[in-house]
Amino acid sequence: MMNEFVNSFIDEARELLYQLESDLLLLEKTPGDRKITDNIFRVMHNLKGAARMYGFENMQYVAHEFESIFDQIRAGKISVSKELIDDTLKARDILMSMLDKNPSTALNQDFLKQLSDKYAESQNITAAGPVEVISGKPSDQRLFCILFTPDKQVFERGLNPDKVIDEIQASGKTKIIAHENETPWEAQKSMKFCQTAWEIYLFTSLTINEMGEVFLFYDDDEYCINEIKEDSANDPSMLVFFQQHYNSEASLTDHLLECTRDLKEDADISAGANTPGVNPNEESGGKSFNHSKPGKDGTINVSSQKLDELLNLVSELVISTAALDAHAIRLKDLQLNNLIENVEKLTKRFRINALDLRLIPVGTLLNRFNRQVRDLSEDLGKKVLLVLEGQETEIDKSVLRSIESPLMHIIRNSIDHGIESPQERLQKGKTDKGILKIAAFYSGANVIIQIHDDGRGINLEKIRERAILKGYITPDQSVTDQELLNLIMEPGFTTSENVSIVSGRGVGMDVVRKELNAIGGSLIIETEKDLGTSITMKLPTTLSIIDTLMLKVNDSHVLIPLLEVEYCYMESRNNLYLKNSNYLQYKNNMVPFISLRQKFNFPLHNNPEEMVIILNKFNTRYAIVVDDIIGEQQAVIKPLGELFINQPYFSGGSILVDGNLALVLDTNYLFNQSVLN
Amino acid sequence: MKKRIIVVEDFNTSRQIIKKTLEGMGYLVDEAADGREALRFFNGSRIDLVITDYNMPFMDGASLVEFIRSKDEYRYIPILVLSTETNTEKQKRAKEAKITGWVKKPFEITEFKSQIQRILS
Repeated sequence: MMNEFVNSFIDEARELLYQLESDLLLLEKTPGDRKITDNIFRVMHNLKGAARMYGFENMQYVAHEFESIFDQIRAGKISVSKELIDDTLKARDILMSMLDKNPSTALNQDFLKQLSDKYAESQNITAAGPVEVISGKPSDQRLFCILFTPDKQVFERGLNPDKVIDEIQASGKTKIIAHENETPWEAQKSMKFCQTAWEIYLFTSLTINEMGEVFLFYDDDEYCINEIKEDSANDPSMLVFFQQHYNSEASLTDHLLECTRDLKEDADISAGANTPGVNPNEESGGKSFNHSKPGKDGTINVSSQKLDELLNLVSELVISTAALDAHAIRLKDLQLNNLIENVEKLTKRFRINALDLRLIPVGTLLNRFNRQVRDLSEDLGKKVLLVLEGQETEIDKSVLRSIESPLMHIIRNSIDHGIESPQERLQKGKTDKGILKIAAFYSGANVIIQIHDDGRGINLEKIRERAILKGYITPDQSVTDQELLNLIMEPGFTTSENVSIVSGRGVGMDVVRKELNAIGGSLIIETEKDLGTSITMKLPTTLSIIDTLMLKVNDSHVLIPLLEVEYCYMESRNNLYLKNSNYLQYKNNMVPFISLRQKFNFPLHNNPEEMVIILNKFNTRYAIVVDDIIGEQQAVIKPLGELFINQPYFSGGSILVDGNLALVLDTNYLFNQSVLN
Repeated sequence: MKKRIIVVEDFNTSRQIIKKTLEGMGYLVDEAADGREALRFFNGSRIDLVITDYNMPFMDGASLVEFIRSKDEYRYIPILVLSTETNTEKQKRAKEAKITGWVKKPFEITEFKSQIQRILS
């Protein structure tokens, strides 16, 4: 019955292990960090318990070793060393592989032994494993006397002594004497004030320990369990109880005999009727499970097709609502407008919700590279600092998943061939530690992931030589650097055996490009000798809804992401074009601007005023000049068809409420045009 | 009628495991990441059991217990507190803290289940 939760356990455990990995790496940098140590300990503690619950028996042993090590670190008995991090990372990998393959992945006892030996004192509980306690045999039935005196305020702890009595009754033959003391027990219950003490004789196969379980929530001084033996009448706890609740002069021995007589005889006769071995708790547990409705857990898996369908419907809804609104405004019906306003609000929330279902932060993937970078750089004898930026940028989960291996390719290339050895770097006057930066950010309807290293860069001369050799270009042909770089991504241009010829780049780059193209993304490589290489992945969200500002240029509608708009104002055309420069003054800065009319070769219009929109990208400002601003627009962006594939200015389109098309300006491309060139 | 349990724990994984286990047992579970977030459940609706962590941001377990016990409707409901260790010493403190008991964290599934059944049966 736990099966339906196993998948979700695997998901969660996997996240935990990724977290663990980055925590371990962090701990390596800050070995004394108490918070991280505690956190790791906590994670392992949790994982250990959960793994066992979900049938990952072997995981719990590894987790246990892990936990012991960190317990010792917490106690200050051992300190964090590189070796320890190596070992624990290895243990973490083992846990991961157990999670990935199957619960019964063979346990590497040697490694565990090694671990526990090395970080001694972690006691050898490994071999112990789970111990099954089998309830006693029928012949083991014994007679007990249980004295139960709950605290007067027991109800305030959320307890009800009745439950204990019921449970004891269910575990064997009983004789129960309740000493109510003045008020009847039922009245005490309604007053929530307990004055009753119980004297219970029980003939059972349970052990004292098992019976103690019944009193799990009671304090030691509230109950006492004694096995009835010949000398029980001399037991101090029995004597005290007896004196408290019986005023008679009768001897305790006689009393005990009388109380237990029936019980013993009964038990002897009906020994067969008693069904030992069946724990009443288990039985009731089974019952409640039958009533349970599976699949009501916190997470469910939904096929991405269904999510796509949902998003499609939501986007249709957004368009319809906007159309409805446009129509209703004309009717001037106040009540109708109010209603529509409400619908619009709901639609907006619905939209955000539906989108959120698919989006996860890029950081969930990027963080995993910490480990790879660490291991790779170590293997290759290099020093690399991985810098992650914009981890909170959200992207479609399926897109993120499909860029994992391309990203890995690129990172491997950067470390292997881009970043130089420490000696070489020092000779070049660089720091010995190379910097690998992965930055993620939004760009219009796209998400950009940039991988930048400050290594030696790609040797363009060698690419050129190879291109000539392979017949891609002729020796006297003039090609731009960008064209050369694009050749790297041609299938078959480079293969692994000529890694050294092109200074490494190109290994698998055609594959990377193919994978990105498959999800509608693209790849740009930029490089500068000895300054490094930058690879930009432009990733689409196949279908998305964003807040835009709608602009008008020569009666066409253009959308730009509202996020990038910093400021809008009107400017006379004379002022703008008088100096014949492509810069305007804004807040005492010179900002480059692009007139969309000029850019698209539309004729000049007669209006003496132009609208200037200051855009801000990566803290760099640039401006676009348009005819007019129409207003904010919640736009459903869809990719443009093949006809538009060769134009760089627009990245998508959106259907307007009146059925017309608005194009989404690729501000990223414009930015490069206006600022970088 | 299904019994309703409120689970208050800031560590998401633990919370989910507890939630799933309880739901697997056929209980209705409402979850909160800290005491403050849990307050909204104590609005007069029926609650059969509260399972809460002690160290949490914003409002810790002790304050939550105090709050619950101050409400007439909830003065006598069982409250279990999650703890990384259990011992009899602690059970004594349970009496003072007006809580029902301690749940070992991470828990053994069978032990945890029988604890819960013991309270809710």
